[in-house]
Amino acid sequence: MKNWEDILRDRLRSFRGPDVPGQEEAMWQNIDAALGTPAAAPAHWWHNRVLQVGTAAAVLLAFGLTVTLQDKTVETPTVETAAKPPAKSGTESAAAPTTESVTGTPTETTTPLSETAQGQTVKAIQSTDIAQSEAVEAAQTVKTNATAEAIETTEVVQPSTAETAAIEGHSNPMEVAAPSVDVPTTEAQPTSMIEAPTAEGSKDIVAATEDIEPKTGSARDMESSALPEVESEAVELGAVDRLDLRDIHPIQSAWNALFLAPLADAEEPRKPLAIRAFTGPTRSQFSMQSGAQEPDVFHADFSAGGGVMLEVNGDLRWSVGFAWHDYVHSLQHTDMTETAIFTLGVVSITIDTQTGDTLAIEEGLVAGMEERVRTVDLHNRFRAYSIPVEWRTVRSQGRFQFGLGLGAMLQIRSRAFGSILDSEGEINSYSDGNLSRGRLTVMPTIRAFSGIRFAPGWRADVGLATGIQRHNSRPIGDSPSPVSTPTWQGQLVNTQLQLGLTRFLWGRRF
Amino acid sequence: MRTPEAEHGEADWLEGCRKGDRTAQREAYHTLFPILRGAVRRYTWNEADVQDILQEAFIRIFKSMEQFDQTRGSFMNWSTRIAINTAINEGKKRARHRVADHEVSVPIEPNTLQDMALEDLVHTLSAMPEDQYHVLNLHLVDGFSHKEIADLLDITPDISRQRLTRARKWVRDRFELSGNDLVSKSPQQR
Repeated sequence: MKNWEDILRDRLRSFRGPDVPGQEEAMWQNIDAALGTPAAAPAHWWHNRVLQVGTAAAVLLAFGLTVTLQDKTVETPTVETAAKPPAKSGTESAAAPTTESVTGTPTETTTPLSETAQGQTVKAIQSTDIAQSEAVEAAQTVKTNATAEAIETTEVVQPSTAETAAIEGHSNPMEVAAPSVDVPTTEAQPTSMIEAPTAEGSKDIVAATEDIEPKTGSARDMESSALPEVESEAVELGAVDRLDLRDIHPIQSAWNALFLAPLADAEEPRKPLAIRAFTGPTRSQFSMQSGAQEPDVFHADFSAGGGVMLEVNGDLRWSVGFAWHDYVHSLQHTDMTETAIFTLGVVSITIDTQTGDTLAIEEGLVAGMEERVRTVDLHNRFRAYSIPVEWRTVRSQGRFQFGLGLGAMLQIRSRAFGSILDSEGEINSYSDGNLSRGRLTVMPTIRAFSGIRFAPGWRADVGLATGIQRHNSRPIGDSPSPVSTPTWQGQLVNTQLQLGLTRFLWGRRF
Repeated sequence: MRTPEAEHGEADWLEGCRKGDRTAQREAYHTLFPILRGAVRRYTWNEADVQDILQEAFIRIFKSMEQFDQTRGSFMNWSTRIAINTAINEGKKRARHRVADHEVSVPIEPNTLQDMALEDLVHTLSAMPEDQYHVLNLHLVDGFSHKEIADLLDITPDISRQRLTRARKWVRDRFELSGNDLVSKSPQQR
């Protein structure tokens, strides 16, 4: 059986209007003229295969040139410094560093770092303000050497003993930032001297290098040998048993006991009954199901609820209780009122098209329409007493519990008030008298929670419970006919953040 | 139901239109013309306006063929939407120059909607306030969502819904369902 909308739709869709002879062809001539001369296919430039290949080649060429130029940027100064040995004296071999001096100009230069004492080449770009070094030429020579060595040190993971000696002796990057640090002149000393340094010398080295370079084995040796007292204290502390300490100073605070008590508490036998009280904020979202056109008018809103549950912890963990919830969802819609306005005004103006003169002005009643638009934000409340029933599965770890509950909530509607927008866009009353005749609703629920036993016989928990329920209006005409359908049909998705407190019964502790 | 031959033919001139081939454009024009004319006439009563709008719509269609995405719908629907958009926008422009709206009063004789001549039906519906009539057409006949209508008419989706409700009420006040037909009510019944 068709409804009037289907009939109207079919009729209007097939509407073509009367034919006007010659109209179609005449219009095509106009369109043809407006479109202009037929153009070639408007292919995009990147569709051209030649251009694609050319672009790819250009990109590759540019990339190659960039790489080549970068290589040259690094290599070129090396050649220049080879031609001018005094300008790169600071980066020369550490084997003969102290006789060289820096004579560069006071500009920021890119100086390639050259060989180390072990003959390894370090290529790095270092910005060195040589102007500063003019004042302390000899010292700067040592500093630049030291910086070059420090960079190399970070690259060598396990240097040989000879390398370690050179690194530890030379590398002192702190000197670049703080030239006043006195660099020990131990770089030329034999390995045996490094392994058994004096207390002052080793402390200086450790202090200068610990922030930057990874410590080599010998450096750690030096540190440990320099701090013998601390190590001995640590050994003593390690020998102390923490449980013994707790025995000596028994912890009275239940809060501290939560985390320090042995896990053996979890093995206690399960107590059969518990009473759990819970409360928390609720979040409710209504959505229209039948004939819904736009879902953007209903929004979630918040309220609160709570209840008491009797928990049975037998072979099957289940609970039953009594709760009260206030669910609020909001309806935001735009309300428009139209008012016809009649006022005196100009109805028509007659103009002479040849001269542009105004020939006549006709005045009379002019009709207008005043539209008033306002946005209305309504909070619809749905209150219900409920009998929740839940089956739980729980995993315990120490004093902590994690679980999942599945159940249902038998709701008994107590009150509802607000307004609702039906599928045809009309505002209807949302009240106890307009909602479905039956006050009982079953809402399947799921709850995830975690709890903690914070004192003997007590547990606190936090969890998130959610459920979906049908939410329909009363049928039109209030007739009890089985074929009558509700004005609107929807669903409520209710979520609650539950904060619970449980008291276990029939046992001293649980 | 469209035959494979028709679809094959459409694919040919569609490709030609994309390339700017005038023969293919002409073929597309003759195929689309009666459909678009019917759609535009539902939104515009004046025959001179219909011609202007149709011409403008066809030029837009052929100039924006690159934007047509075959995976998102048929070429027919895409073209119809362009024509309707053009009609609505032209209607807005013309409304700015209109001094006053004149209430159209059309006497309706008792008749069924099925039997009613289309011209008469459209003429009858033209008595409905224009804003409501546009929403009724856009939503019920052309399948626009309220969001799309809101964008097209510069209103909110809520107002679109309200106008649709009022348009439905307008039709229900003047017609009643009798079996599979809508029968127009006599003036005394209203």
